[in-house]
Amino acid sequence: MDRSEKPGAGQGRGRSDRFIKVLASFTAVVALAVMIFLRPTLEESFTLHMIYHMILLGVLAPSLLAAEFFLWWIPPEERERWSLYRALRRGFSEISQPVVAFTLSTAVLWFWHIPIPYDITLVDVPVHTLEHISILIAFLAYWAPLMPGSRLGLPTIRTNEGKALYLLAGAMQGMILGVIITFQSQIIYLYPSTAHLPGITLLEDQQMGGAVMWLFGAAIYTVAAILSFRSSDPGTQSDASPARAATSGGEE
Amino acid sequence: MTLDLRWLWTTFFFFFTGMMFVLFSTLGGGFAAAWTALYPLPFHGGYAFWGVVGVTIGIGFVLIGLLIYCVLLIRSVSRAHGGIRNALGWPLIFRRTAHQENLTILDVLAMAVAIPGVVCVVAGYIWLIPLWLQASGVVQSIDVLFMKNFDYLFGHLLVNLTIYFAAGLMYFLLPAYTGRPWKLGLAYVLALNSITFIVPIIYLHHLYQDFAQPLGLQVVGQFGTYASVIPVILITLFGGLSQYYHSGIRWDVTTILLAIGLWGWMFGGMAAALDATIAVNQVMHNTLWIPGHFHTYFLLGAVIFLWGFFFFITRTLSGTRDGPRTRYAAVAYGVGGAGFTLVFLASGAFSIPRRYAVHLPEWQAFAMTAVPFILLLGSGIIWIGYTMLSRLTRAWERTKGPVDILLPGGAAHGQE
Repeated sequence: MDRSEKPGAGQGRGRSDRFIKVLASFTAVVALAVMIFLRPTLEESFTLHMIYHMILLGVLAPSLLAAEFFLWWIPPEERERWSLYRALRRGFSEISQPVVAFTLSTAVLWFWHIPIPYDITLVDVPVHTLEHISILIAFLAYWAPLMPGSRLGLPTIRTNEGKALYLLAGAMQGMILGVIITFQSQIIYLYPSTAHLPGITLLEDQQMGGAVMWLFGAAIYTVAAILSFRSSDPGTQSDASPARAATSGGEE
Repeated sequence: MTLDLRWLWTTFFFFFTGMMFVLFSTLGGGFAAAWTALYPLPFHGGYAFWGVVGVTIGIGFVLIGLLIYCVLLIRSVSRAHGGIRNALGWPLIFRRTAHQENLTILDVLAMAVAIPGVVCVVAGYIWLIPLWLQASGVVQSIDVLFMKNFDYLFGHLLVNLTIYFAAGLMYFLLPAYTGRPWKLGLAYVLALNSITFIVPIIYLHHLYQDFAQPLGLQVVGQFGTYASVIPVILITLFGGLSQYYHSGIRWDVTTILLAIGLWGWMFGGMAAALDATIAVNQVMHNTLWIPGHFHTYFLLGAVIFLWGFFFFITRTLSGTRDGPRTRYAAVAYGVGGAGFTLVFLASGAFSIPRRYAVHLPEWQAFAMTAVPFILLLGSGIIWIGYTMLSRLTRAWERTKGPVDILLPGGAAHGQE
């Protein structure tokens, strides 16, 4: 931060950063609470299960990153003294390279929505837990490159066109998966349960679940786009140059 | 004047996502009625329920993108010229000032199109929200004529504004080729301002067959459509032709496409104005004349302006030159497109109906006549598209920060 630019600008920005981190921490806690509330219903309704997934990948994961895993109040230099933190950050840095992160998040999301693995998660609690942890890690990696203000020191995408491409790619894979599920004319998830949302059939429940992934998923990526894009800066041309590398490729 | 990149990218994101919704709903949900899905067709057309929801949400996304874009334009242009009235060139009309500093035809056009753009968004949501309420079971039915009015107010307006937006590219490019500035005078300001007020009402010519509609609105539809032709003729036709006339312009792909665009918009517009005449409409409206006219001013109007602009921008930014034969691609596009749309219009003139589930054997001769033209058009598009794509990487790499695409010599020396 260039403090010479405007007196007090640094203080103002610091306060704004703190506010964002507190807000992100609050959002993460609320998301966790809603997920705990939804947890017992996941075997009963595909729609509720998909809402759970959307909160997990689209609300909890980015909130945790923005809140620096609730560690924002500890200075980065202090955190770097912890060997576990350093090791985790280095490992995470590898999987949050944009191409790797997009591939990983797509692969994980699509794998767990193949009928056979999905059906297994509903009868096997450890597999179900593994499903949710893997989705969380994959989407922490996915959202990390879109957090240039984070002090986690992960690779970030700096240009608007890079962000647009990355977000559209992410949105498209989620939408296509949602569309495939939504427009199935027969039940594809044969989990051993006949319970579902009252008033609708199992097929309708499955279609609504697909629609949740399709429609809410798009909304999540749209909000991310609005928050991620930056105005042009004639002084630096930082956001206006398509010729710049799409990613910083390094740590901040 | 520079538009804020953040909001331009946001607009792009909304448009792209919205279009993907429409695409997926059409391909996956079989929703085949587009924006002309007259209520209650969306719920009784045999489409998948989520296809209807998806396509309407997609349109909602596109409209938010349009709103952001229009507000951005209005805000930026009016700030640059000290208020909306100045940006619309009203001092030239009401104070009879001879000249307004720094105000260009593009500024006034941007304002004249962006203001009805906001009206389009409002009308679109007035149409969409009842559809969503019925889809969610909150309401059981909606007034059919109310829905048709707002569907066409939004959809027809969006279609019309798209052409005006695209025509702006011609107003931008032609002076760069000819070296003749497109001077803004009183007549142009009046014509451009009339777009703001006239274009929103001309959709009414699509409701002549709705006899429950008050007669006054039908009359407004007819005369509004006639009035809308005046600015098009004044600015686009006379202005465009006077740019070409004796300018010594070099004919390359872009200038050929822009010239075809002038013809296409005029010819398609004339076909539309003819159909908007109530007596003609009674006979022609349910024939192929209608798809004929909008194919003409889109394929050979709005879309061809876009092709011309993108061809220009990829060539200029990549620093490449056109081969001597590349211009044949533009000619193929023009001849193919003109033949195709003329057959469409001829089919309508011979009373071949539209929206029939079957195409009877006696109508096939027209369709067969169109095939060679479509092949010619397709080959032109492929040729132009391939040329642009082959330049895209180089153009992208050579872009360093904000660039003026009218690079010195770009327009004049881009061809051989």
